[in-house]
Amino acid sequence: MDEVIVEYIRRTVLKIPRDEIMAVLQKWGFLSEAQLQTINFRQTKEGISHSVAQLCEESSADLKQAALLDIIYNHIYPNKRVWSVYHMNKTGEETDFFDFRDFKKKFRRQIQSALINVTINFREYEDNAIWIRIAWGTPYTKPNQYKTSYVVYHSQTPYVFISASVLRSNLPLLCQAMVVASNYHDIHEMELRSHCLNSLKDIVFKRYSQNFQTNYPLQERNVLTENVDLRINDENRSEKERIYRLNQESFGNGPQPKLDFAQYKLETMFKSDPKWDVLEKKEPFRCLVKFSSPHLLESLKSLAPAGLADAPLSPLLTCIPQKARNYFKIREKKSLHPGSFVSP
Amino acid sequence: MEEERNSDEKENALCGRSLTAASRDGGGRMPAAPLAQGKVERGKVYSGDGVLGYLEMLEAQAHELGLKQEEKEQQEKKLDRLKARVQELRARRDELRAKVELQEKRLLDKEGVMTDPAQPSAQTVLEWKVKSLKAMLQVFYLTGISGKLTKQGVCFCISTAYEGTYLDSYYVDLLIKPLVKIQRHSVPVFIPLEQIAKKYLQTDIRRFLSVLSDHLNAYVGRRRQADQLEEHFSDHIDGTLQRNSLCNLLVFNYTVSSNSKTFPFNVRLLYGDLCCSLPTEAIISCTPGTLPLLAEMAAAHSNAFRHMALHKAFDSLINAKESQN
Amino acid sequence: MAGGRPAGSAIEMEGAMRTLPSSGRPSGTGWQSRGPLFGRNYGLSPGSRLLPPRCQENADPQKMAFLLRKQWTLYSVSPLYKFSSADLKDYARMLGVFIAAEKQKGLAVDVDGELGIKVAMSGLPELRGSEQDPAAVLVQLSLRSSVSPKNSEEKLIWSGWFCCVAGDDLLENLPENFTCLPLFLVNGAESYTAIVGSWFQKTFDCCFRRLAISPLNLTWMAAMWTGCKVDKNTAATELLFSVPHLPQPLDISYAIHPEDAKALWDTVQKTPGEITQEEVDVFMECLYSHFHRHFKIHLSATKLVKVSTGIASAHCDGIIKFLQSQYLIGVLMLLTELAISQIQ
Repeated sequence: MDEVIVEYIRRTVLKIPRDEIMAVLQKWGFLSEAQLQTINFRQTKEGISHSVAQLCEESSADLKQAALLDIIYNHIYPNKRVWSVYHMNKTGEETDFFDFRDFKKKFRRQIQSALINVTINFREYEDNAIWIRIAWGTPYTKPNQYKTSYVVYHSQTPYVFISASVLRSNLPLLCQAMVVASNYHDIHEMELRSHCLNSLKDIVFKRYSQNFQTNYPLQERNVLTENVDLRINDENRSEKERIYRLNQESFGNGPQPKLDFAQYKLETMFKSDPKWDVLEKKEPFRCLVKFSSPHLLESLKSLAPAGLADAPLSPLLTCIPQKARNYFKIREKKSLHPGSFVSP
Repeated sequence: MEEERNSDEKENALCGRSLTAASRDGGGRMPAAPLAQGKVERGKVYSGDGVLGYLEMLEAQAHELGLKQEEKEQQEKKLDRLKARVQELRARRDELRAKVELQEKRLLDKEGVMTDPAQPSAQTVLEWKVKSLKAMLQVFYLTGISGKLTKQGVCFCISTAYEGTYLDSYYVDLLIKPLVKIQRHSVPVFIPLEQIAKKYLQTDIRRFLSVLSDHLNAYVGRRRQADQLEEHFSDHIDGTLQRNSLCNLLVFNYTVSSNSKTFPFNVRLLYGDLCCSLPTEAIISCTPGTLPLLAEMAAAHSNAFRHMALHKAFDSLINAKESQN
Repeated sequence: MAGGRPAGSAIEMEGAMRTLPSSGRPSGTGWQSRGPLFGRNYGLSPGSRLLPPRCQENADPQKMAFLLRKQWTLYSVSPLYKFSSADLKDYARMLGVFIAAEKQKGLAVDVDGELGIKVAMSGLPELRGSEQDPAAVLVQLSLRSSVSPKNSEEKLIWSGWFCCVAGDDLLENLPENFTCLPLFLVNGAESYTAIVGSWFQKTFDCCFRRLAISPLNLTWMAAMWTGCKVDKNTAATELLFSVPHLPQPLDISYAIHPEDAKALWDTVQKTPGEITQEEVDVFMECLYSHFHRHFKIHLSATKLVKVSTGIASAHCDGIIKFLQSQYLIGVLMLLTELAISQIQ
């Protein structure tokens, strides 16, 4: 068993960028400063990982320590996983005195009552975030430490961030435990996913720049002082200003939350210019549109100023942070306004 | 006004002028005129009296001249005064004109810029207006709630403070028509905004804002106290201070000494009223069996926690302890 | 192979552009104005192509199954001098020797085992449009395991094939001793492609060039392949756009349900028996305007980089994947045309 744990620690160390191994190990705090000084950090990563493994063996590291290192690693590099946001509902209005101790107890009991072969570890961070690591087994096999689920939860909020394990069959159990432990009533998956955990938090916690109108106008930035081209005539100039203003209204001043993609399933009518004389169909025209970018909202924001899109950009795109979702199904609105869409 | 000035300038109309002036100035010189007239009449009467009569006539004439001179001086003074007044009024007219122009410009073209540099007065007016508006805003800010009309409603800003320190500001963007609705907001997700809105938003926006403001202020207050405790008294706390997002449950441990023995105290502060930054319950527990010995002290500590800001209460308890020692 | 080339040969790659005397019209300006179209569309309206033929009767599609669902990198090849399909066995032996020599020079990739690479060359007579087309030639490199050379298991590591489907124009004007196989498709490590290419270049005095596919040609493929009848439920018509010059790169995938895409194309395509440039343009315009109606983004201002359909997928970098054997010939016909137009 010890060998397995030491090997697990070694492989975790291998995942860390070389220059940051020392800092992560210090955060972990299992190995003493004196022990860390004995490691030669100029050798290959493979070599470093073996040195760390040997020290851990000498200090007889246990599963709890190994799991803690994994939590620390995932907390520092949350973008290595895909996070999905879940929303919980409550029926009553009573004030909840959330107690972390009770939460842990209830969560553990709830899962272990259904499946005994699991490893559950918790860690609380300064921003009131609770990180939960769960390694799943089966009724007959020990938990697989390499196929873990991660849950990040901020107390007294209805949002849960889950990075599910490949073993998806355990997801309902995990959700059930979450609901029970946090005193909620039910839970469902929101259509919001990203690698960037912090941006997902910014979106659902409304911490992103929303560009509220206040009586204290921020120092207005003059678009035209940037890249002044004297040959551009006034008409162009006012158009540019209009686009800038509209863009500002849709996206705000600040940096956008980071999302990797947005997906739209369109089931709307096909309307074409009569001059083309094509496709007159009563059924919807079915499309699937996917936008992907390392920083989706920033790219969308730069479309209109670059002349690649109209200003203002479609609300289908600008509503992403507001609606807190990046999966949409678009159908024709059954109303008096043709050409408008609704998403359920 | 203009007419008057024109007649002023007509030197030959002295008499008429003097009359108007006299009648205006009230009785000041009224006696002089009938006297002079009387004398002229008398001169006519005593025309045959020779030198004396002549002298009398001369005296009368000199007197008349003196009067006229005095009158003229006064008129000149008045003229100066009036000229100054005209200047003043002209300036005022220009000022008003500029204001009107500014107003019109604003109405016609919101993006309009003052183009005439020859009107510094308009600039002054503008500056003055901005200044007074800023002062108003400052006043609003100090009250903690301010709003701004938007295209479809109002955007309110709620600024929070605790013990004289300004803390975070939160925004609520309301749609007014057809129903009052929260369009966007930056209120922390654990604040029961939905419940507050359900209760007051449709019926009493003022109430809605004040209740929301109470919640927010109480929350930042609780958070601030916890921060202060961690910041200043971490040496006196065993382990870490545990809290949740709303900071309505704070748990920590510290050590008290009695009869030269030390006992660990465990404190659980429950804030049952979310609009309040003081706990409704302060439960102190210690090692089983020791409580009866320390019941009095525990009760005193609990009382302090319930009535004073956390860090202040803790400070006083420590100081009391230290002075005891 | 020195000196064998006749003077004034029409196939010098250095000569920028050559017109074919037989194309029966003022060629230079003629085909330039119609973009990529090449003068082999006798009897068709300007800027048009034949509908892609379905399943050649003389070819058994099952035989070609090994060409499907693999990524092929495209090259154009100038006509081969003194190439004879009767000598394939000799060529294979010579190429084998050449590869071994290159390996000794250290230019080749690291290959295990002394016996190294086995070369096989064979004809693929099924892959042609008409009797006039020369038979396609398949080159395969396999790795012989050195452990037990006697009952050695061969592992296919690289394949490439030369083909010509309906290369009528070039064939008609070909000087003696030249074989026209203008399209070369490769699957495998680039280092082998380089060695094989240089041997063919040396031996048959030909010239290889990567065959990129322009966005305009991609729109042709999108339209043509969308219109193809497929028996089973097939994949969507997916257009992949990349948006250039943004601070953050953005990719847009626009997938249309195959039935709806075909329904649209069937109403656009009106000219019997052929497809015109105008029809292709209208088809794309329709898709762009449907997209714009939802997202306010002008796809026409972005770059079309990839087209995928149930028939095949094509990337602008010159990478193709065949998915339906019955349309293999049809797709190759278009690619042959593009290869020839690059050689010209």
